Amino acid sequence: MPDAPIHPERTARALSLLSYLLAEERGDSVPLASVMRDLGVTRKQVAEDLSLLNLVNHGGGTYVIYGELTDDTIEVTREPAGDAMASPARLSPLMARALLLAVDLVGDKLPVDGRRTLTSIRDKVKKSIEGTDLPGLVEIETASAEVTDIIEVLNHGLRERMVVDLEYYTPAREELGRRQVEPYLLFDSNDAWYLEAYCRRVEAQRTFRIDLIRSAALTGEHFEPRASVDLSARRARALSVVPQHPRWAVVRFPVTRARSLEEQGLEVTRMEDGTVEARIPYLDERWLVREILRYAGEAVIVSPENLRRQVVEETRVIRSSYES
Amino acid sequence: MRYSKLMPKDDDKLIRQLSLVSFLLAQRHPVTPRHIHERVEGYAGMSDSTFARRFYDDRSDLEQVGIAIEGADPEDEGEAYFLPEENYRLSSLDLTAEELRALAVALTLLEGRFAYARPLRLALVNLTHGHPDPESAELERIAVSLAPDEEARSLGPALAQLDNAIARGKTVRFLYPTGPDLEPQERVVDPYGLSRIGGHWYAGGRDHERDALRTFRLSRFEGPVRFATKRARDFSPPMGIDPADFRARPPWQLGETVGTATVRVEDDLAWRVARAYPGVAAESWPGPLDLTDSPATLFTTPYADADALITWVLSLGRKAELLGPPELRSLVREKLLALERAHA
Repeated sequence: MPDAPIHPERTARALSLLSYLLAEERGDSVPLASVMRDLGVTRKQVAEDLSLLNLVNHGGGTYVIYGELTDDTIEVTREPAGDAMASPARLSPLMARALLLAVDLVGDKLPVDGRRTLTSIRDKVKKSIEGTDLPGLVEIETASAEVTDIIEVLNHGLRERMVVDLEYYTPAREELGRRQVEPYLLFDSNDAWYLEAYCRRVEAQRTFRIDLIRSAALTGEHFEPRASVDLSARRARALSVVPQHPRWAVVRFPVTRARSLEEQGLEVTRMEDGTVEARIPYLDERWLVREILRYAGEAVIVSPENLRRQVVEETRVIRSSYES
Repeated sequence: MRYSKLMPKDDDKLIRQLSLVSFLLAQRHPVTPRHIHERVEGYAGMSDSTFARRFYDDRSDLEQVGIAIEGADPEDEGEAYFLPEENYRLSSLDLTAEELRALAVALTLLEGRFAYARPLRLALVNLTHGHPDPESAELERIAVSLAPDEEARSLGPALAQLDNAIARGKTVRFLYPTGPDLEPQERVVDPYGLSRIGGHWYAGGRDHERDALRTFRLSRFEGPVRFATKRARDFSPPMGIDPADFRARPPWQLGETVGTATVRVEDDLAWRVARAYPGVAAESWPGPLDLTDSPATLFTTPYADADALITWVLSLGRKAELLGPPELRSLVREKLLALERAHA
């Protein structure tokens, strides 16, 4: 698991393996592959933990388990003294934290009865660690109540294959409009959550950013899944929401912006005059003009020329509000 | 004889601690330290003072993973210890089938995409008695897809080290871009918490040199995160610390407040501002001044960084106007004029 740098406490890992192996339902010959899959551990970790567990005893040479690792199984001898440790141990603070973070991260997006399930799991996990010091604070950004309401509606639409009526803000056009969609998939792209849907207004598959949805309501109308809707790209690599055939602009910035531009994954070139130039993909010219305005004078379009003129025009309109 | 004296020290300690747990769970009544000293694997052969120190450390380590060994009332028993079953055994949490199903689905979605996926899997193994994964039919119905946590992947050891430091109360040192030149400088910090916001990881805590709460973006760290001392614990977080104290605030509020600004936002966008910045005060615009005005909301916000505030207002395009203070309106005008000239 290269994307999971936080390892459980060693004690917690060993105790989890112990109770797993002490469960009589697994028989005396436990497949190694099952152990590795279920506990998310490597063969080396199993071997290390097993060599320790074989030495755990409760006095007078009374051991709790003896396990022997073969090529593809663990041959288990359960000692009567192990009964007390057959039940799983309490959640360690790190396990409890992982559960709570998971609930925060995806709880309200799960295809179940969203908030009720989310809240009840969180309450029960917290209750189970009452009295345990949960050191430090780790938190993952959670959706606001309004967004949670919207996701709950979308989830209902996904589960029941029901058309949803959206009130959606399109930044490039600075327009709040209504559209009916057939929802297919919720996905995240690290920066935000998105809905992949068939839009009935444009009669095509479209991607909607969840935080730009002002409201969502079920219409009560069911839809048949369309064969033309292709979710494979979204499922395979949800991260990529960059358009497939963008146009490109070259934009000059002061060097102090270089790091944040690179963090956005943009190609940045350092110029001799101390500035940097970034290649920025865009589909909609109005979107790029807005982006340039956002930098309040620090970003200057080098090319294409027509976008430079649009920046001037848009700037004049906005500046007129500040003349009085 | 299964035991070898060549065993690494940490392994030795773990065997001793698990043997202590096993021993205490098997006792029907509290047991004296002498009894523990003589009977538990690993303590025999220690001097009384070494045993006392090790036993104290072992109790402390076990408590950190949620297993609390309790002392009996000295008036009744003398010095004696016991491990109630409820202090060891995981309660069922009374999770319903629906809740367990939701957690199993969450695990599947998060596997390989979540910094805490390993402890999450172990938690579910224990909660489900070894059956953490959902049914395959369940998986086919999932209409949710997550991106990998790219930052956790690249941060790796730094994130793990900070999580460890937070759990153990350890002060850390790291290099971080500082000052107007963004030169990497060593920062010494008591980390109180981690946050993942907008796909980025942040650490918050007390910066020693500035003696104030600061927030650091982990992707900007240069080099490794190191413990500042070899002590077991360096600090205890202040009581009542709230993540909001070091959570990323609106960029224009970072630093010392220098004034209060008022921004008018048209209502077809105001809902989004209110949702993104719930801490910014909002009130309805008194009403259209003329027929060209759209319904709008007034937002009032303290600001520390005028440039960041202007950046935000301009990002809202024609839908927003900074109404005051006058010096900020002048600044907006100047910036727009400069932008216009640069593109003319």
